Amino acid sequence: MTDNMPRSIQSGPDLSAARIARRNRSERWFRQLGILAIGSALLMLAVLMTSITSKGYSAFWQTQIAINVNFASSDVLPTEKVNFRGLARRSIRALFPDVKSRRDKRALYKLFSNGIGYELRDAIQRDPSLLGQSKRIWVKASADTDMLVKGFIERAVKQSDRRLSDKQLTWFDRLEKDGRIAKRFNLTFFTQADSREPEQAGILGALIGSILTLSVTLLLVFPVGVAAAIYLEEFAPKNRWSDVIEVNINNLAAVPSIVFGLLGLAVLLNWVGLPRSTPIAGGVVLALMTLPTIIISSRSALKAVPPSIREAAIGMGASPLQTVSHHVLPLAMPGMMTGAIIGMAQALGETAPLLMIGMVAFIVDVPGGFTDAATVLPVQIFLWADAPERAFVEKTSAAIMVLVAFLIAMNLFAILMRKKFERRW
Amino acid sequence: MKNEMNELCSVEGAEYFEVEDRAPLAEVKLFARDVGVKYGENEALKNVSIDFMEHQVISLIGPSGCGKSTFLRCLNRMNDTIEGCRVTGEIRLDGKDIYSKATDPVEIRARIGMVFQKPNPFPKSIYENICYGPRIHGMANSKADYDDIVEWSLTSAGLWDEVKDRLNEPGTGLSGGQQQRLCIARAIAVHPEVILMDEPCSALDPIATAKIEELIDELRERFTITIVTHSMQQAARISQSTAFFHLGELVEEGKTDDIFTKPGDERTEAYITGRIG
Repeated sequence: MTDNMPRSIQSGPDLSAARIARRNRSERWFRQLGILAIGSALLMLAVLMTSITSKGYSAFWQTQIAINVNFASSDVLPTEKVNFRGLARRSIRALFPDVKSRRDKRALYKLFSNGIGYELRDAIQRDPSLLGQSKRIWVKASADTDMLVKGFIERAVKQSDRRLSDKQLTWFDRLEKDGRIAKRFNLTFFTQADSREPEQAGILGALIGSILTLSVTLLLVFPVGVAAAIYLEEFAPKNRWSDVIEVNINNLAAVPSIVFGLLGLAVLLNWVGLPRSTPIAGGVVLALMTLPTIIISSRSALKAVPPSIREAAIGMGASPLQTVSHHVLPLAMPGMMTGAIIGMAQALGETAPLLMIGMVAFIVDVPGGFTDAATVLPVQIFLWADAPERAFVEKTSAAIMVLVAFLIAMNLFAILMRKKFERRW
Repeated sequence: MKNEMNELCSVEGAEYFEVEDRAPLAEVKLFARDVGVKYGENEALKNVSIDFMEHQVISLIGPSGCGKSTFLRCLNRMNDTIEGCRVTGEIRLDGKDIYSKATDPVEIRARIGMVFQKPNPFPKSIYENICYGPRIHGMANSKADYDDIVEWSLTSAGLWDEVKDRLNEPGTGLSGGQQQRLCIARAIAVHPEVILMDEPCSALDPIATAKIEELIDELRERFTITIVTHSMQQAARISQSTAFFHLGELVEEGKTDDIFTKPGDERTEAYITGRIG
């Protein structure tokens, strides 16, 4: 046996210390590289999140100013007829009797939000017992005042270079000394749609727009995607045509999203005639965009079901459809749902295709249905990032925080679903 | 030797030609003539002709890749699910051609049950595993009917006493041997006429194997059983007939005692004495 054995085999494996040391060294080196990669990824994420949070958290607070309003002083009912703006201005002037000239008065009003008339109206509608009373009411400060309180306006800067004049600053200081300035939780941010005035702008319109758009997307894409995946994976013959389809689906998943926007513009708006800027049009475009992703993830979920389960069912005399619906689909469902939620998360963050179908419009109403003009969270972020007012900077970051919170919630939900429904075999 | 084989086949073929395939002998349950299987261009099986007698256990033996599992899967049309697989020849169950266009493969699989190499209970409760077949074939109407089916099937598979207190626990939680008996119980729950077993004991320890073998012997009274096995001792222990396959051909088929004591072909002899395989 040993006679014809090659020399290199006879000498046996090289177990020298130098060789082992070299192997261990490269092993260690590779592990450290991996840790470094993870570490730098986490660091970048941390920097991003810290930057957004530190810029955005202040948007959740809003400066308010207390004014004394005499609801008896005017004929307050019926509410639609009353000049609440005038009432508000009278109340403001009452605080500063020394302000006489029209120009100064206008400057004084600028410390307050120009929507405080509506606030007074809302206050009396909420609590009609205010009628005939004089009452201290907290109203929104203007965005400039808010910026001053939050420290974004430097008093040291030359008067002409800042948004508030010296006079306005003295008035503000007087209000502050009287205890009429307070930072309150910014409920408006969560209950209002977009506005030109930063202090009146909120995220709710975009949020509802996103929810409506995504429900259209989910309703379209999940049944179609799952059915397509089941057909391709379980029923379609494997031939040249199915290969062509498979390649095309994979390619479609890589098509830039703006192309789907152009398609939506050309086909959905111009040809089908869907209304512009609406969740229905946006939802269809996003459905087209996420369809390949859903098909691919559903197919891999189906592939992960062991063939022995299919054999067992077919061996029992189940038809192909029974095999799929009784056994394969229930087992693949958690994976499919995870894929669908991740696809939805992708759609939630998508901006470009929606710009093409007009969802970038400035919309101040909370959309009430699928055919109302609407915008979505990422587009709202885009719009605010584009706005010149300093106060929109924090709003942009706050909107990003809301969007990220939604993404995290969706992914968490996907993980929980998988944990709950995953079955072992 | 090739001539010998041809002679053997032609003699057997002639015998059945006389019988006339539309009215085979009463005790012939399954009847296979000139069965061939091609996977694309690759010929996996050719010219296999075997009769499966009622209430008998027939073992299919042979080295790996000899086509015995392929042949077994032809008998209940399991090969339909494999892409590019073509079956030629004729297989009849009680005289009915199972590959004719008019035959529903679902009906064939309901009448010819199958147990696989690896235990593959559904990831559902033991109870649901048994009920699945009866449910899709509309065999029961009430909970009581299902309860009866479950008890009868599990008792027949010798599993009732071990699992009667945990019927709602997942079937996948049982031990390997128990899972395989659960699969047998699941197969017999639809009361098939033939049960095909594809190396049912290859993943089991000797004790579980012994239980399954005992069970197969009991089941023979009610079913016709075909078993693929790698263990010649097992074939000798449990089967009345044995068929030896080699390189996609049926080398010989006959009474188990004859095959193991006086094989008619030298390849059979070589295999059972461990010289090829």
